[in-house]
Amino acid sequence: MYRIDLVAVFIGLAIFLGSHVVIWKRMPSNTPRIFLLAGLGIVGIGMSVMAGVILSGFSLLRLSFVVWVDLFFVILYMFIYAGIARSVSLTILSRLHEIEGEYLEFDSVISEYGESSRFEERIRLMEDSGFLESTNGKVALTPKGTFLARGATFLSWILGTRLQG
Amino acid sequence: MTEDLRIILFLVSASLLSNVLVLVLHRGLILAMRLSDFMSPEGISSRFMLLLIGVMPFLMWKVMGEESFAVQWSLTIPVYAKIGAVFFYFTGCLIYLEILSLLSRGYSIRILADLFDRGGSAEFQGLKSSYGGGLGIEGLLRKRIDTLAELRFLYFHDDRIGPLTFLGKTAGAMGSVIRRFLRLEVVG
Repeated sequence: MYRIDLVAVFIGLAIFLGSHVVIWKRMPSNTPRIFLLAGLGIVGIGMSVMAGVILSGFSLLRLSFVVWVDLFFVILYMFIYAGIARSVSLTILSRLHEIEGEYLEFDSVISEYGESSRFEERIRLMEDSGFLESTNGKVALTPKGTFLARGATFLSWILGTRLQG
Repeated sequence: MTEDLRIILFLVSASLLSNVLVLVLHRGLILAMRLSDFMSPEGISSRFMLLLIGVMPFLMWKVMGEESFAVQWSLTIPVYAKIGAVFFYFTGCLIYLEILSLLSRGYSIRILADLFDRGGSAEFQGLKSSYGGGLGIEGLLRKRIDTLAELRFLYFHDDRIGPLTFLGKTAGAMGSVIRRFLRLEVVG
């Protein structure tokens, strides 16, 4: 294994994570911005490739190694980020962590969660993404939302899982 | 075709075929268990999948190795390239796991499925109260908390949630810190 190729991987990952942190801190948003994050990942991989060419010349095989390793870490981070940004379980753990060593009654968690705007926020996000329309207290699927719902149902049948939520 | 390109095509094929093999073996076992009624696949499914994902790279290494297809096709594959292919394989596994996770646990996807089941539209309050095919928010939270308890992140007994285990404290603390650091305020 060429250590210099790992340096190229590191450079790309540093650019990906650095730009992600800078943008998220300077322009906070309630949307998860997964596509933007994926775009930054692609830029990071591109930077890794460039660094690889500069550091060890043009070798298709070595650049493939750089891309494969970089891609793995980018996808891994996106997996982790999706959990950080949207995980209900992590919200429960963080809430319990706030009260340090104590416990919560299940009913209080339900009412706290129910009174929060999290469900409304999901609806709003899906409306902004074009999957839903809401008017006068009614919510309806758009053609795009219908396509996604059908696709998810089909895919879950193929993979033998259930859309449990 | 240059030697490098042939090696890359070989390694990509090996990785993708390994991903397909994991998927087919995993789904095949689950289907066989359900059809034979031998035992319930619940609980064993994810462990078996993780076992398959962990074992497959060793098989890949054999296929990429000196005594197999690579030699028959006159390919000399450097070790670092094989390692890169294993990373590519694990990337495929991550994507598969993420898709499974989204389908089985996705909050937003379930909302869309609920609407689809109701003919495409519903009253907002009705949609919220009957989320998850009738489970509601209570069902959603109970499922999450049951899973967290099974994975030993917290204790859950007699409708009392907590305290957190060491693992739960670590995850909760890290989650809070990272969310604050990235200024993620409205989360799941």
